This record gives sequence, C-alpha cells and structure tokens, in this order.
Amino acid sequence: MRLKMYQDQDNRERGRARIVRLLLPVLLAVLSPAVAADGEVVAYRAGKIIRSAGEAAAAGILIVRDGKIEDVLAADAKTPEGAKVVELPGAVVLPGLVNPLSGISQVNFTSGPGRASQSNSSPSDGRKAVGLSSLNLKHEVYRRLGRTGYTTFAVVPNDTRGLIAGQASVIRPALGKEKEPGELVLEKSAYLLLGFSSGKTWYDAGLRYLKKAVDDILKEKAAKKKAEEDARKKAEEAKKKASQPSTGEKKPAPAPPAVKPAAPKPKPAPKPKVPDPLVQLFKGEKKAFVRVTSPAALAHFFAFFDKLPIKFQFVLVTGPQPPEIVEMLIERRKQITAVILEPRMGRIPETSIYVNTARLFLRSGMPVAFVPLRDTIDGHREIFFQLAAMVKSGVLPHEALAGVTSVPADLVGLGAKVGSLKKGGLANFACYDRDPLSGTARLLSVYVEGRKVFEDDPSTGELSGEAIR
Amino acid sequence: MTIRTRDYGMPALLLPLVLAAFFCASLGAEETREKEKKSIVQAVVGATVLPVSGPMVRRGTVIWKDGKILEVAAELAAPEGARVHDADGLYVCPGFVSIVAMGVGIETSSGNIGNGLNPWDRELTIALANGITTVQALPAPFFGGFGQDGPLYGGSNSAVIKLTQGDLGGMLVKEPAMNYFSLPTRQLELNYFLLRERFKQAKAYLAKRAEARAKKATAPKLSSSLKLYVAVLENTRPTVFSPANNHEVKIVLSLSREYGFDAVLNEPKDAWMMAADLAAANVPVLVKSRGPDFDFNTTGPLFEKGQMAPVRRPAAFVRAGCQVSILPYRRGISLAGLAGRDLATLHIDAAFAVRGGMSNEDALKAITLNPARTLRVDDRLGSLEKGKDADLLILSGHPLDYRSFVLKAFINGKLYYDREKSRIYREIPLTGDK
Repeated sequence: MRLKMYQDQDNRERGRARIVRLLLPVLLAVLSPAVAADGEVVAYRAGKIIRSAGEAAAAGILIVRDGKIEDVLAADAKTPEGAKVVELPGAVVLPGLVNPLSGISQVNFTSGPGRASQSNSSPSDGRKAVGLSSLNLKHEVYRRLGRTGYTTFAVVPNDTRGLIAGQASVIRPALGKEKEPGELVLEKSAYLLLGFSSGKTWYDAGLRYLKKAVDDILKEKAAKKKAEEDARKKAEEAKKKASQPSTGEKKPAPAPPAVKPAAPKPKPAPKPKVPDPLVQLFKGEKKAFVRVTSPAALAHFFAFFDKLPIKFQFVLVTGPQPPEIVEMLIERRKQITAVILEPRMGRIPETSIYVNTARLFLRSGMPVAFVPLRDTIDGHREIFFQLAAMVKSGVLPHEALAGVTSVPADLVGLGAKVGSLKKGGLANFACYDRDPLSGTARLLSVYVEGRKVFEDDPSTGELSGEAIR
Repeated sequence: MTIRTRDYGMPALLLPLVLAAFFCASLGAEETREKEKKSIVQAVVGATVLPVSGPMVRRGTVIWKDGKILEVAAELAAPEGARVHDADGLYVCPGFVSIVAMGVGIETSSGNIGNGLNPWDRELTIALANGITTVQALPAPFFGGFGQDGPLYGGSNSAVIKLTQGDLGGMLVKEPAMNYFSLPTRQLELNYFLLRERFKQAKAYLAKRAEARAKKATAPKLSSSLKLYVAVLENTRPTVFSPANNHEVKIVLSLSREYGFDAVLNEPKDAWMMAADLAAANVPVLVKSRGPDFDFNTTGPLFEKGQMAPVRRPAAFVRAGCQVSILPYRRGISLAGLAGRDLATLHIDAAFAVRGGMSNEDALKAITLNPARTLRVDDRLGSLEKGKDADLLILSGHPLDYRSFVLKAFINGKLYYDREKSRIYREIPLTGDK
C-alpha cells in the first residue's frame, strides 16, 4: 500500500522534476549566492521542507540569518524585508545528516599527538586523545565531507579497537577557508568511546582502567565523607563546650571572635587538575559510547560491567545481532540509552533467516542511530540506499530518517543545534530532488551554516565543480 | 511527493504505552526466573537410568534441585511440587564428557580460555544435541596443525568447560585442566637425555623453592625452559604425553614412577601390548576407536602386521584394567565435512569400541566417568550420583544406539537443549523400533 503510494508520488514527481531540471540551473544561476554575506537574511523557498524526522513535509520558507535558522515559515507567508530569496522549487529540504561515530578525519593520517597505536593484543588507553587533535586540514577530505548530505560528524581520534579509543569531537565540513582545525569544531569533547572484546588482555586492561577509575571515585568519596564527619564532630564538640553550664549564673556573652579555636590555616589551593575523562564518565559528567560487537564480547562485557560497584549509562555501538541477543540487550535498558547500528541485516544462527536488528530495537522503544556501512565519502553518499533496505524490512521511514538526523544529534548532545530545522539551530540542510528514501533520489545541494558546500548540476547529470570525486 | 507522517501518528502515541507494558512484563519475567532458579525441584520419572557409577535402573527416577542431584532410585515418586519430566520408555544418562574439543565455545584464547569463552557459539547447540555437556576446551590450532601437542607452559591453554549455551556464568569448571608435554621428535638420544636432565633440574628447583618458602624468603628465579617441567612435577593437574612408540611409553612410565606425577597417554599406538603395565602404574589412556582414514603412504597397510586393528584397541586396554577415555574422531565440530567424523559423534565412537569387544557399560563410562576422572572433575561430573552436578540427558533410546536422539540436555539442573525447539534436529523423525 505504502509502496504504491510512493510510486504514485514518484510518477507525479517525475513530470514535475523534468520541468524543474530545465528551470533550476537558470534559477540557480540568477538567484543563488554562493556564500551569504554576514548579517544578510536569506529566504529559501522550497517545495517541501521536512523540519525534523516524523514531521509532515510541507512547502515552506526557511529564513536564515548569520548561518542560523531564524524561522521556518509557511509557503504563503511574506518573506522578511530585504531578504535575499533563493528558490528551491522542486527540492525536498532535509536537515543535514549527522554521523555520531566516524573515523573519516583520519585519512592518510598515521601519526601525531592524538593517535595511539592500536592492536588487539594491547588495548590502548586513549582517554586524553581528542578527535580534534587528529584533524589534518591539509587533506581535502574535510572539503569533500559536505557533498555527502552529511553536515555533522563526530570524529574519534583513534580507530575504534582501543579499550579507550578517545574523546569524539563534533565537526562540520570545511568550506575551504579555514586555517585552524578548531574552526570546524562544534563540540570539542562530545563523548568518550570505549571498545570491549573478549580475551584476557581486554579483561586486564578493563581492570586496570575502569576499576581504577571506580576506585579513585570511591576513595574520593570516602575522603570527603571522612572530612565531613570530622567537621561535624568538631562542631559538636565546640557546641558542647559552649553549652556547658557555668556555675549558677546565666550564660556569659559569647566569647569574642579572637578566642575562637584557631582555624586551620588555609592551604595553598592545589593546581586545577585536568579531570580524568574516565572518572567523569563514572560520575555522569561525560557521555560514553561503548563499542561491543560480537555476542561473546557482549556476554563478557556485561559480566565485567556488573561487577563494577559504580555503573554508567552508555550508547551501545554494535553490529547486527540475532534476536536472543537483542532481547538480552533490551533487558538492560537501564544502562543502554540508545544503540548505534550499521544499516544491515543480521541472521538467526543455524538458519538462513535474516532479521532486522534495528527494527527489533525500535519496536521495543530503543532509539537507534545509523552509521554508514563504510566510513568513506562514498559510504556516506550511499546511506539512503542502505536505509531504504532497512525500510523495506520493517523500519518505518521516519525512524530511518530520525536515525541519521535527530537521534544521532541528541546522542552527541547537539540536538538543539543540528539534526532538525528549528529556530535557533544551525542552517545545515540538504536538498534532494524527491523523497530521499526512494532509490532514484538525487542530492541537489548541501548547505552548512547557510553556506553552500555542494551543488549538483541536474542539466548535465554531472557533479559540478569541486564536487566531482 | 510527501513523506507521510500521519500514518505513524498512532504508533507514536502508542509507543509509551507499549513501552510501559513491555517494561512491566519483562520485570515480572525476570523476577519469576530468579525464583525458579533457586527453589524448583525437578525430576525425571519412569526412565531407564544409566547412572554409570552403578547398574542400570529400570523405571528409575532422578531428582535434582539447585543444580545438584538429590536422588537416583527405582520406582520413586516425584516429590510434591516438583517439575516432572515424564520419560516413560526413554533413557537417562549423565552428559557426555569429551576429553578434547578444539575451538568449541571459545571466541578467542589470548592468554587464557576463561576470558575468551563464547556462550553464543553455534557449535554448542550441535554438541549438546549429541549429548556432550562438558569438554576440555583447547584453542583451535593454527592452520597447519600446531595445537594441543605443543608444549603449553603451565597448561594455561586448556580448561574444562560446560556447554551452557547463552550462559557465560555456568561455563568455566576448571582452568587450567591439563599440561600438554611434547616428546622429542628429532635427535632422539640427545633429547631423551636432556629430558631427564631437565626433570632433575626441575626437582632441584622445587627443593630450593620449598627451602626458601620455609625460610619465608623470596623464591629463586625460574628459567623459562624449566617452567613446563616444574608444572609437571608440581602435579596440580595431570600431564598428557603423546608417545610415538612403546619405547617412549616406557620413558614416560619410568619418569612418572621416579618423580611421582600423574601421566596420561594420548593415543599410544602400540601400548596395548603393555596395557598391564599401564594398568599397574594407574596411567589412563586416551584412544580413538577408529583408525586414520587417510595416509600419505598409500601403498602400505593402515596398520602393520602384528598390530591391532584400531576398533579393538579400547577394549584391549579395558580388558587389562586400564582407565580408558574415548577420543572423538575429530576434535572440532564441522558439519561442513564428512558427517559422523567429528566431535558430534562421540557416542558413535564409543559404540565402535563396543564392536571392538568392549561392554556397553565400559563404553559409556569411557565417554562420561573416565574422562571426568582423568580431568580430576569426577567429584562433580561423570555419573548420576547423589550430590553430583545435575548434568544429564534424556534420550529416545540407548545412548550408544545410532538411532537414539538426545531429547533434552540439562546442565547444572537447567535445560539447555530441547530437541523440539532445535531448528536442526526437530524435523528428523524418531524411528519407532527400538
């Protein structure tokens, strides 16, 4: 039923799209500015705007000022005075896609301060490494990021095999004018990525890192408690002394402050310590993504995790799993806040029956975010083909869309800025020529903070300018 | 074109409700499951029970609780409130113990096996379906064959595991389980000499260490070349030797006698000739009941004149009074190759030993109690006795009959295999005649 609906839409659309294809280059040439000047207001009048996954698509006007969305108006509303109008008549405007876990910044980048060497036999400790430190602006990959439809990437410094891979930085695609990698960064440290596998070395490292962090916290707590206790006792003693009945007479006036028991000399303030991210994680001050892929590793991880006296909540990064494992994970909803999956199918053991792991999670109410199958520019460009396959096997279209926009945006803690088109958010959006989940959809243009980073030329069918890979 | 969302309005509204309902349900289920684990008494009634440690019990009952067997007796009614498994006309026997298994239930063996177990290994189902509930797990060898016969220092790469599928907590029984000692293959005279020298040095080291301990001083440093020898002499676990000929069997026997450690002989080819000596020295043997199916020497016979056919060897050892454990034809599980030639057919290998002259009882013992004894876990496993672990099978016929199927397999008193639910085995019809 739904399929037919889409077909009908597509047929109708095709006719319109043909006209649009003829007109669009003319319109674009006349109207669209490559980069909006500072303070300028631009109104994008689009055929369909999907403000956020799950909301109805409707014709509308996107008002952008200083790279931020000032408003989203209805199609018949008046554009603000002095606003530059950009017509996107046949386009479906989506919020720019968000990748919550990527290593794409590490292309051709083999050594440097942020990157620890990795191997399965010695899981590394990269807790101090930040994704930002592994950015290498000289590489053109940052300028190519925008042509994928993705406008936000959480990049981790190490590959994901380390026990503590590092802290992810959230970046946007480069516009080509940046001088410092910091200019790309929306959030320097969004979360800490841990990875766990089965095997002795991982247990040892887990004990060494995680248990030590817990012990530190417990020690700190105990010391604090003791200090409080001491202070309380002292105060009580002081009170007792003060309230001791003096002979027959009324209580004398309180002693002058000079007689007060000498207060301990204020110690020189200790140097402000850089907080240990792992300790912060157990205190709930930092988000955690935990990557555990194989069923055995999941069993070992939870056996290990259950023994820790303090727990933390985390986002689970995993692969396609058989239903019984999904069931086990869903029972742990207290610890697992969301799941990050690749959009591909799992298989029931001993059979050739495929299961849609994402669907199982979604039906139980677990938020699911998707990352592309391949962590490359091409992989990102193909995301809607993969998501369409997910939709075919039971994920609802709006869930698939949310899985690459609003859900990952929330997971990296930037839900207010990216992942949907709302007032005050960044003007990051991608324009497709039809429903992106239909196999024939084509990416027309991508805007990052109101500036165009990619444009397709539909009249020639070729990718224009720099966008050719 | 529109991406319609009104279709999804209802699910969006329902979702919190569904979620809440799911949560309540799952919480309730968890609670009951916890209770079940602790208090329920279970019983198999009306079965032909083969306890292995004693004679067959007709119309027998086995009762267990909290993973331990409470009672094994004939014509006993199940206690009040027990969960009863009616096994009228069926057989019950202890779960089989395979003294070797490679790559079964293990994901990775970096360092030790306990931390690399894989309770979700699909091979566990196949092993359970064929009655194997416990194995000595060894890591899979490198391609080309370096495996269990390599010198594993301190036996760190062997563990006794139960095949509790999906349940990591119940898996590990004992680690390390055995030392594997590789005998020299080249420059024999020199190496036999060095072997004896190293044992002497190891003994001297142990004496020094004991002395240091008595004085509460730090133990002397142990050179890495002596580690295995010290582990053998400490005798906290048996040591497996794979002798190539009877000369080596004699060497092992004399070393074992001289230094007082427990030796186990793995596939001693011609040792049936001196089986009486092995029985007298109380050295268990691990043997296959089937010979090699392929040999590069295609012109020669598979066994020399004067030797014994492989099928007769296990029986020959038993007749002399040796403790025999039957080895599976292959140590791993792969239904990809020739069916009936891997760990999944351990009971068929035992049946071959019967064809070679063993009794049914001894053959069953050779895949249950004997391997448990050799692995030193017979206080918990290997037979159906009061106080032992409730690891048992309900079978459609005698365990050594090729037509029999395992219907249910219990480990630690919990059901881990049910034929009716097995995707592989439920479709195969049970043969009516017995």
